[in-house]
Amino acid sequence: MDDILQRIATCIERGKVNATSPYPPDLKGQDGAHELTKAALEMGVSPSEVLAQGLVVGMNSIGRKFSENKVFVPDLLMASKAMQAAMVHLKPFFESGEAKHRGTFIIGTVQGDLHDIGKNLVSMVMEGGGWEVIDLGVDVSTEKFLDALKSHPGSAVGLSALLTTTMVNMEKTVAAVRTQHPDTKIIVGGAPLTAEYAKKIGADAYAPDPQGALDYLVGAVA
Amino acid sequence: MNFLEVDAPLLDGVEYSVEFETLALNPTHVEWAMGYEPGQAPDPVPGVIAELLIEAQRHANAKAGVRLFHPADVHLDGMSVHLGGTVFHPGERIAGLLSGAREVALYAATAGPEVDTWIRAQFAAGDPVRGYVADTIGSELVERAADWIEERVIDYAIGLGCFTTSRFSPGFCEWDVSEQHALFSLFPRAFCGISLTETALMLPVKSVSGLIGMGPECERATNACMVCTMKTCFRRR
Ligand code: B1M
Repeated sequence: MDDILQRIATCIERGKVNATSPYPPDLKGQDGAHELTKAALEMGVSPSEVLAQGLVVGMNSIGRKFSENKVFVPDLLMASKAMQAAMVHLKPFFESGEAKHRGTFIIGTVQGDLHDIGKNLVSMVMEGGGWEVIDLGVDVSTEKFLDALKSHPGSAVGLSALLTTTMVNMEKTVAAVRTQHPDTKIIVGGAPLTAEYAKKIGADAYAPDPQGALDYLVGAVA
Repeated sequence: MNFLEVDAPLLDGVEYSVEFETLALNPTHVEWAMGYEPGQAPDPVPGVIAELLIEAQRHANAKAGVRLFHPADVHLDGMSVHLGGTVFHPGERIAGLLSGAREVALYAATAGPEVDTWIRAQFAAGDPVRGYVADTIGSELVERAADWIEERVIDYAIGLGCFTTSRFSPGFCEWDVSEQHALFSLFPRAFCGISLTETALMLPVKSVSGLIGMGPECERATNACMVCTMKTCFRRR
């Protein structure tokens, strides 16, 4: 069992989607995340174990290398593609309640800002880390964040921005979330952000990269 | 106009179209911009880069231009830059590097709106790796359009017996992005087809702006990363 979970983790980390995908070249012709996840479930490995010891291990490993600038955005995107292939098999178990997410994470790029690559990477890593992700897209108003919190009570919230001129719009959203849902964990990120700014506007944490966001939330809900 | 004769003067307030071939974008530039050393991007990235560089040619519509400010209209005081009646506050670091500039060129460059549309289409087609490669190609196209206009400014400066500083942009170091509004107020309306949102975001997204100082003592930084204060940047070399 450990062997198949380890192989799933490797496929996720290396972006090996399925048996027909020719990348990475050294895994050509071998089963990928798709086949191995299916096989593990058929062998009777529980969906929670596949998630925790396969998907999460693989995504954590690539996420950490990304934080250390050892791999770059395309590597993370390829890993996430493999993770999605594995997730297809786990989705029914999440829907039936047999497998549980670690929590729900609502994310959006703040009002006035149209950048989404960074935000999307955070979504992918959070999903790979076992979180249900509600992605509100770009140019997201405070009201939209509040509506999403109303529909998904108890969720954590992530705000992203790429320019200082739009980063300032985070303050209003953070204040409104704090007033209406005081216990919500709020995490902010994006190129111009700093830990000082996060503190100043009342967010719980600043994450420099997707793995930082995941690590913070895993610690916060543990 | 799509090229400048070697000896042609750089014209104030004129938009130049820059041909794709002139931008001479190659796969190594794209790999570098993603953070990889040349030849180090994993498969299938190199193949995607090669394929999308060919496609990009059909969508690129790069434009660039300058506004030139002469000694009578340029005043620097170590903290701010006065161009005619407009004052910029680029911060001590950039203001220091501009000291000695007698003339200033404000520049804007864009890869064109079609590139933004093409990038969105690549993402929408469902393969984020292709989307990100297209996005990086778009960023590099506009950077090279800015290199092109900078080279014209260098030639212009040489004609005046001057050297140039590096390019400096609102948003870098301590220069507030919101000063984009002041910068664009000095360009003709919709210069190079660029507009600004209320939050100072340029549209098309793949656009850049900034200024270059010119003077007998001016110097360019050999490595732009040495000037930039963003220590966590994945491109920092
Ligand atoms: C909720 O929790 C979280 C946690 C983590 C989170 C998170 C949320 N959200 C994001 N993250 C984090 O995780 C992701 C993965 O690590 C990251 O997400 P990002 O979205 O940041 O990262 C993307 C995946 C990849 N990153 C990128 O694509 C951006 C890379 C850098 C180098 C960059 C690029 C490529 C470009 N740019 Co420019 N650009 C820079 C960037 C410097 C940098 N290293 O970040 C930045 C963003 N740019 C900057 C600036 C100033 C500008 N740029 C401009 C232009 C450009 C290019 C066109 C050349 C190009 C493309 C831009 C684009 N929007 O498409 C201009 C604006 C363009 C416009 N349309 O208005 C211009 C204003 C300069 C000018 N005057 O011309 C700076 C912003 C600083 C500020 N004060 O706001 C900047 C940080 C560079 C710097 N050295 O200071 C993290 O931030």
